[in-house]
Amino acid sequence: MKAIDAPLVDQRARDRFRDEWNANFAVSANAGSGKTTAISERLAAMALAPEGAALLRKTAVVTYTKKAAAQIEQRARQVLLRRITESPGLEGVPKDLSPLDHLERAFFGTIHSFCLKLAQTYGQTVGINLNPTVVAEDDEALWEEFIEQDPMEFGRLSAVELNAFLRHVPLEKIFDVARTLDAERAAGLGQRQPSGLPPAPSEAVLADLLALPAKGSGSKNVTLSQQRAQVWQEKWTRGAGFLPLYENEGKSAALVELAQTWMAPLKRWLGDAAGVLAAELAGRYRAWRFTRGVQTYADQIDAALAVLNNDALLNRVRSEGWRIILDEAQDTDPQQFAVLVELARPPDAARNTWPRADGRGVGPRPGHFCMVGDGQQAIYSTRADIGNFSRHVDAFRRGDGGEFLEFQVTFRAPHAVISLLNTTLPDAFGKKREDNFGLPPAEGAPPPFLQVPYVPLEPGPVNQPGVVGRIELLVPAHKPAGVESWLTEEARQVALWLKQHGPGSVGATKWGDIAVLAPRNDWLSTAQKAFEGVGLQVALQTRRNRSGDHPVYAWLTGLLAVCADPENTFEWVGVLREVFGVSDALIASELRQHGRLAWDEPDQHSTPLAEALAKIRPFVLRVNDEGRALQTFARELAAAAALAERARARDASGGLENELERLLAQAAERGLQGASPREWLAELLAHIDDGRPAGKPTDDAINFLSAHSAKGLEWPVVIVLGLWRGIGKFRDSGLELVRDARGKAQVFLDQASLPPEAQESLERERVRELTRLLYVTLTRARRGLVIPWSPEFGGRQKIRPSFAELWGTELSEISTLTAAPGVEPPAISATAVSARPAPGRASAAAILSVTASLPARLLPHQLAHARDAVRQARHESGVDEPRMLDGVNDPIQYGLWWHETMELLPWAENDLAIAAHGERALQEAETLGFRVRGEEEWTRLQSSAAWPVLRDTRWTRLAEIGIFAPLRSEAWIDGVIDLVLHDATAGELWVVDWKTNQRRLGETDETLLGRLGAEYTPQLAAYGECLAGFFPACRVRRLVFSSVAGAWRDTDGQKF
Amino acid sequence: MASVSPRIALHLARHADTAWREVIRPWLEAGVGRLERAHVIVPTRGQAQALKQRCLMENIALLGVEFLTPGLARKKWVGLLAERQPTMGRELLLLGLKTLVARRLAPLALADPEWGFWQSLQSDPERALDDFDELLKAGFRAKDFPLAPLRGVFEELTEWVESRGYAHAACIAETAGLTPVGPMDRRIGGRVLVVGLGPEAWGEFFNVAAFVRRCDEVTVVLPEPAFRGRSELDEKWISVWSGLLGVEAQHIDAKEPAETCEAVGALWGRGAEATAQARVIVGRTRGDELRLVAGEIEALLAAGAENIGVIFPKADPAHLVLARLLAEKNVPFVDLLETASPPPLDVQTQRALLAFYARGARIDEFLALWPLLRASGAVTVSQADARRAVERSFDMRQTHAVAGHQADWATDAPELARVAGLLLPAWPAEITLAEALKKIRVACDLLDLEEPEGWSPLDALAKHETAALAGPVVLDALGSFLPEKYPVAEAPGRGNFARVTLGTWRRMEGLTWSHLILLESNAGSWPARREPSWWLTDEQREELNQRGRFTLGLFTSEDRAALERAGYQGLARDTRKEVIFSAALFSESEPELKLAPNSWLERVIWSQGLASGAGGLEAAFDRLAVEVPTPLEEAPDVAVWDATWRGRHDATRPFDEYFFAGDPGLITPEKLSAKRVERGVQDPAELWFEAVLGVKRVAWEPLTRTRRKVLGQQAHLLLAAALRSTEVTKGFGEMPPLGEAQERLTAALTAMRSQWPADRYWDSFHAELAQICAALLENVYALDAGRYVATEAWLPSPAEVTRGDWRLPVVGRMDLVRLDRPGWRGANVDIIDFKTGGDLNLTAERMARSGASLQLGVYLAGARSLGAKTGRVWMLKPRPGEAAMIDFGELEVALTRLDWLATAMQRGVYGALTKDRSEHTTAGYTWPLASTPVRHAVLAAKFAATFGAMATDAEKEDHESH
Ligand code: SF4
Repeated sequence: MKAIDAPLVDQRARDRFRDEWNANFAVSANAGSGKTTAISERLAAMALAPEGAALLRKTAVVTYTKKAAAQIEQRARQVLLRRITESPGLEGVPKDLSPLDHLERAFFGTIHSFCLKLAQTYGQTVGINLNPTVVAEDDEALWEEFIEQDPMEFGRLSAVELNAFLRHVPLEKIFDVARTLDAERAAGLGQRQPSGLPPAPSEAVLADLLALPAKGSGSKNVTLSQQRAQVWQEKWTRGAGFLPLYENEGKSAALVELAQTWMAPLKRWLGDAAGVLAAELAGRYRAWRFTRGVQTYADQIDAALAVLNNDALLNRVRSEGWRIILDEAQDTDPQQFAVLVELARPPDAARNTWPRADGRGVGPRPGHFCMVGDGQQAIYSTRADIGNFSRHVDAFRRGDGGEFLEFQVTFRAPHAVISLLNTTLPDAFGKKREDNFGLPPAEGAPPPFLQVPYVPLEPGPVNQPGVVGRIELLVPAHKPAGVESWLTEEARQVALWLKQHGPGSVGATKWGDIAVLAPRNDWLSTAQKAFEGVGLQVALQTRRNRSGDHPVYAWLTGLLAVCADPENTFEWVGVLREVFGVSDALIASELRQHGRLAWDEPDQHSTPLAEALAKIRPFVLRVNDEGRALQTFARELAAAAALAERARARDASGGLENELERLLAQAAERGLQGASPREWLAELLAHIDDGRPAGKPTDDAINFLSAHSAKGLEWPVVIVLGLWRGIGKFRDSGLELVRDARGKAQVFLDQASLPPEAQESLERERVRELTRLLYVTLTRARRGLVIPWSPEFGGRQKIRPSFAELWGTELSEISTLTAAPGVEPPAISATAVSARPAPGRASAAAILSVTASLPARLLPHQLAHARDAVRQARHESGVDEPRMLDGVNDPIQYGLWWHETMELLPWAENDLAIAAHGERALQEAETLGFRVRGEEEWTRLQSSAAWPVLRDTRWTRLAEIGIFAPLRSEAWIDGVIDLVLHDATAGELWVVDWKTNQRRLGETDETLLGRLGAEYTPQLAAYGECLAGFFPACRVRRLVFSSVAGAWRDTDGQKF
Repeated sequence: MASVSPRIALHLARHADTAWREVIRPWLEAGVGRLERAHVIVPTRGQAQALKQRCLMENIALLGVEFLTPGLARKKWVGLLAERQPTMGRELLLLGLKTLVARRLAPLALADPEWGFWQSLQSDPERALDDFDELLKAGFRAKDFPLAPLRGVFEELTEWVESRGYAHAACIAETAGLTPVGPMDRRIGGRVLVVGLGPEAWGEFFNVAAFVRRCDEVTVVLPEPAFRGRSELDEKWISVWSGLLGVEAQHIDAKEPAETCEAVGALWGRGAEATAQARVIVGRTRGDELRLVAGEIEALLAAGAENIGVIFPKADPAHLVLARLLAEKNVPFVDLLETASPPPLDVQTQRALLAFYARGARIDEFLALWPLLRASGAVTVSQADARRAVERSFDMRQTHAVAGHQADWATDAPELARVAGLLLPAWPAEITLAEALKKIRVACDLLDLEEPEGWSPLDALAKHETAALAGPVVLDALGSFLPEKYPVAEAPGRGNFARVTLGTWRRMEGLTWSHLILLESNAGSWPARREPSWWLTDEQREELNQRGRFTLGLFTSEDRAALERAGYQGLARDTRKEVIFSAALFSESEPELKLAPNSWLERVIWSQGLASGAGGLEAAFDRLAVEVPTPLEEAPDVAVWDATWRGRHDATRPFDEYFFAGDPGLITPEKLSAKRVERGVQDPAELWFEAVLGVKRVAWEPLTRTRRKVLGQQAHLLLAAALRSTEVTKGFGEMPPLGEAQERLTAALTAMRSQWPADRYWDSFHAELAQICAALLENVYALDAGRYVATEAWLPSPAEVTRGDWRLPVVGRMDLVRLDRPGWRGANVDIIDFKTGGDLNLTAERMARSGASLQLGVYLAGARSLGAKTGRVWMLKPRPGEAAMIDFGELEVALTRLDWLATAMQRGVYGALTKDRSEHTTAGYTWPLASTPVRHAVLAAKFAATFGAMATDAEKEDHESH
């Protein structure tokens, strides 16, 4: 082993990537080679550069997930802080931390969010939607809305051609393709216009089909097929009426082949026609999405492309000097590559001219484009295109556009695994395998090598020696029937072995150190049952657990559903049995007896059921109430149903409680936007089928993951399950959309109608990708790699390839694991409950001293018996309340107008001035829509008995006067008085309060004034009391003036 | 004309405490004992609250002192203007802008070069309007927009505003703020004190200036520059004020406060040394963080903390949680943040009504409206019945437009038809404002809803704006005047004084605190990442500022970021004892996502040397995290429930009364339909819910076209019409000759075609339907069977199935029955089932094994029980000669699964065999929402434990179908 401080074999490559941030690199980073750190180092170096601030403002670090982006950002800050700390500073001068600020300016995010940002920043002239709602590609309701309003007429095919198409294929068949087609592929499909009408099926082939001898067990099917073929041919000749494509009966190979040959030319034509139609519909769908304001992820890329396809904008973007660091480049599709590469190229470079095989075309500007990735880990052919990735890598390899670097050193894989993989995998990735080549482009031409080359792994300084060991599988005497049963048997044997020997036997210190990986999710479920069957705990980690299957999600959704619609007995039943554990027998007999669940009168029912109904009843009653935060509703509902306690009882590790917290936080979030329980329910329902990550790793459970989800992760020990088992294709029944040899999209009517070469080349690509998936699977372990295997196990596989076949090495030669003696299996779940610490700090409430409380603040409305919304709206304490008080409320608005009119009334001036003031106010009232009422009440005031009294010259007047004073020692009043009249000579102080309250039914002036007086007496009394404090010598009178009555009244009962 | 000049003082204070001691307090005390107007202008009500609280603590009573925010100040002086012009709120301006954009866009096509711009602007008018507002407030006008088309459209908007008799609020403010007040002008008078306004209040400057001009005595205290981040902005801000007031700013010459956490703020600057005045609290989750903070607050109060400022990035869920925790602990606090709750039911309904129109009068929104109408009593049909009526009509009509359903509802669901009648027609493409207001008001009236409140500004505008406007634009405008939320009634921390204050930095800056707690100090939470606007970019702003009329102009995104940072630093400076940062390690909404400290906290952790050990910052942050479980005191006992749960999920335990079983004497259904028998033996859960409990699920999923299903339904209807006998006695008649049936079919098809829209989708649908029907019809005639027929025939009572002694009355409707005589008894019967999709797979063995197509077996058994002599049941498919059959001879074998049914019903034990829901199949029976799935493997094991040998076959089928 090398010394720990010896330089890594690829140290130079790492140093260059970090330091030469003004050069472009493509980095091929082996599994576990620390690429996140490498990118972080580069960013830190940029931040520390003198021009760091300017550089990073136009730097984008893009990767495939939000989480990965966040991780790089955090790591980069950490690296930078470390470098600042380590830098030799000046004595007594604090270290300059401003490079951290520079780093904050850089963009970290997914490619999609970067495209959105590009489009928003630069796209205002090309018709980009700047405010899109992002929707999933498969949004059913959206598509439904689209097809319904679509004219469903097609112009790209002539009417006869369209009729010919629709004669054999329902139009609906093109929908699935049309729905997900992006602009680029749609353009490609549009070009494959079928020429003329469909070709007639060959009579010669039909003759062969009809001539097939009918004998043996299949004779009935042959005869039937032949009859149908004849009928089909007649109908074809007749030329009218819907005619589904011919299908033979039975599975006879000769029959199947003839039937396919017979239909092939027609299907080819139909496939092309389907492509053209799908492209046309996809175009309309895209346009419609645009006007509807929604964007799919593909639309975000298209939007960025639209910006870059505009010369002026492209130049502007390029001249701003964006720098791109692309992570996980092997998963990036050609469109995304195009966006990132184009904007990093020099301003005058012609579009789409780099990279080219001939090396011409100007690449990205130095320092403006870096990509980090690993072709060996390209496992997402559905979205990415490994060929495109390789083209870019090859360009860098030959020095075109930048340089190529390799990080071979893995800090993860143990020595044992490294030497096994380095000796066995080069073949699997190498030229001896036919599948690693494409089909020859022409007769006799050499076939292209299309697999990614294997890069040997190099151990880092502290990698563990590790172990690769085999668990010998026993072929049972009674052979299992079918692959599922074989897999169950394998899992059972492995589980028993583990159970017997404990985690230590495979080099783990606890069960949670072990991950079981398999290429397909459904294999894991099968294996899970077997593991659980022998008493091992399993944490199946999948990203696709349905939200609605999560207990807490289900409980809350069910509870909300009955609150929102208490007549829904079906959902009540769910809530009662599931949340409250009421027995089904009781529910059934009560339902029989009463015909319904009387939630409104729970007492009608027997105990446990009645109790449960009574707990939920209050929430049913208040589900429509305003003025109550959704968060409160949700929390109290959860508490009433004891969801937290149930969650904890079901999952001591706190996983279910976390989900409860998450949902309650969501309720709070939505509640802040004014959502009601009903709206929250709608949202929960809308997302009930969303996949969510599930299966929290714990110390006591063995982790189960698909090989795909294991990418980017690591465990001390990895067990690969089902190495013997053939890995099948996913079957699709609809149209097949594939790319041809030149990368152009093409549509086929079904899988069977793909030409054999196309099927072959697709299959080879699938095999190549599975080989890479194997690489990913085998490079996850830090200490031990466990291979359950024996040559005969699993029997002959009908489908291929299996991982073992892809690996192509003699697995029996791997030495069997011997259980390490003396390692006891840890007790399962002994620590699960006690893992949570007790609450940290003792409650301080008891010792909370009296000094903590301050005198109360009395807002006048708290004194009055009725709400004074007008006053609240005019008071500073009400300013930031939500918009109900914004003045959109008519009665409030009128009150505000009146108060303002009174406040500014020039009492002391002449009649003319007063009339002018009144007219101005009334004009205002007109624009606000209540001139009539305003005029009436303004007139009424002027003719009221109060008017001359108010205008008396003896007064000093002050309107809208704030008062903040101690009312009693424990309370201060904080309010505004409408009008105070002061006559110092007479020693009089009058307090006037304006009221614009409407008359209630049947109220006279008298009773109205009486009511107002009663309602506002305490408020005015308090004012009076406080004012007396300021003017101890004055006699205080308190008056309420009603604008409706045009009269006032002394609140001590006296009437004027 | 000589202007009236007030007495003026302009002070600069470095610390909030200095400002209080040297200026504010003396100013307030000067007014005591006089009936005299005095105003204090503060940035937000937070500062007003805090100043009052300080008065209270220092026992200063106030009379005639009114605290105003700039918005309230504006109301005061606007009322005094000689010429009062109405102004348009944002909602009305948006209406105008959208209208102008729509008009420009209308004549353009995709190929036109300008199309793109207007299209983009249409997608984002709000931000453009914000930029315009900023432009106006900074003294620019529409003509200053650097982008020519924006210039054009905003100039036109200005014209539109003015031509309708309105003015821009910002322009009025600017004029009022800049114009000296003449001796004849009406004034506010009295004293005014302006405190706490920093450069971020520049947008409100003229509102305040106009107020100040109208007072007798003006005192202004501004933050001293040098100590804030962007000192340049501070200097300009001061010079703007001294320009307005015509005096030089005076530094307050006073002793610095002894205690300050200034060093903590400095950490966020270019760098500084460690300070002991910062403390860090990290919770594992946000919930943990808040529980820790609540405990911390209690502890601080217990230790005598004087006033604690608790700062949130915004009114967010964390704020609600902390407020609740404090309230639960009886810790008094002042809450400056807004709360929100749903608006009243009527407003919710009005909003749903607008959404109905906005989305094109579709059934989806119609169904969303329904429960609201039901809740207010405007309709009586239940949500379930409404949904089912819509599902039925949707199956027929396959359209989401409510208009397409009206006719069906008229007979099937009259109340739905009535409501649809009230609501339709759909919203027009163009409509005048007045008509629009009327249309909604009429609808509200008809639905017994209150009239929408607060539409008077729209009414006022409608008098001046009489042209037809784009329908959606008008609808948006109406909606913008309906509140989406109401404040929470009786939220804690309102209208009181306390030593703990919850708020944001904006509401709390410029005040003194003993302790400051900065919550959610995570990257991404705060400081906010500020994206420059694309309509008025930072570069353009800087350029405009070069030629602005005022010292301050437009702020760039970096300016704003710097102001925010300075705001926080100022808070630290005005804090005496300690600044506490709190943060969470994991996100609550994405529990797997690890969070990072924000840029300030990061430096605090670093400065305390916590990050220097191995692992660096990430590890240090990790180590700090603490978990605090919610205490479940007085927790209800859930042990019994837990046992029930475990029993239900226990594979070894048979089904019992807790799992779809009960007393057979009480719960057994009297009869079953053939279909339910079939589905019930495949999954007894369905039998339990639908037959035993008699409850049915109410679907909520969006309705989507189901072409296959509709093809099948229509084919059945058409074939029934074609085959129906003209002369029927006791349900049977002679089958028409093939030719006649074909003619009838053609006629019915033609009639049906006219119901669907004339487009290629329906052409295609119809062509396939015609083919299916024709082929099935031929297959019917190809059978060698009796000449009497009954179409869509019900199995009459007393049809039943029997197994041994057990008998079960059955019902069901068969697609077609052919007999050789017009009655069941003694007849040779052929029962025919049309299958338009799926596999042709009818054998007695399969039926026996899995119960597949058992329905047909039940029909056949029913026929036998009715006395038929011979019987066959057929499944026909739409290809020539595609038919499969079972006859009486095979029936005993075929009905094997009924043995289980007999046992189940006799014992009252049903159980379940529901399939696991996987990514590709959702076919299994759907349980109520609250249910968590019990895995199929568990159910199968329980089933075996309950029913023994009877279970095994069902399992076999299960594997086959995978
Ligand atoms: S009376 Fe109440 S808040 Fe006002 S001062 Fe009142 S509304 Fe407040």
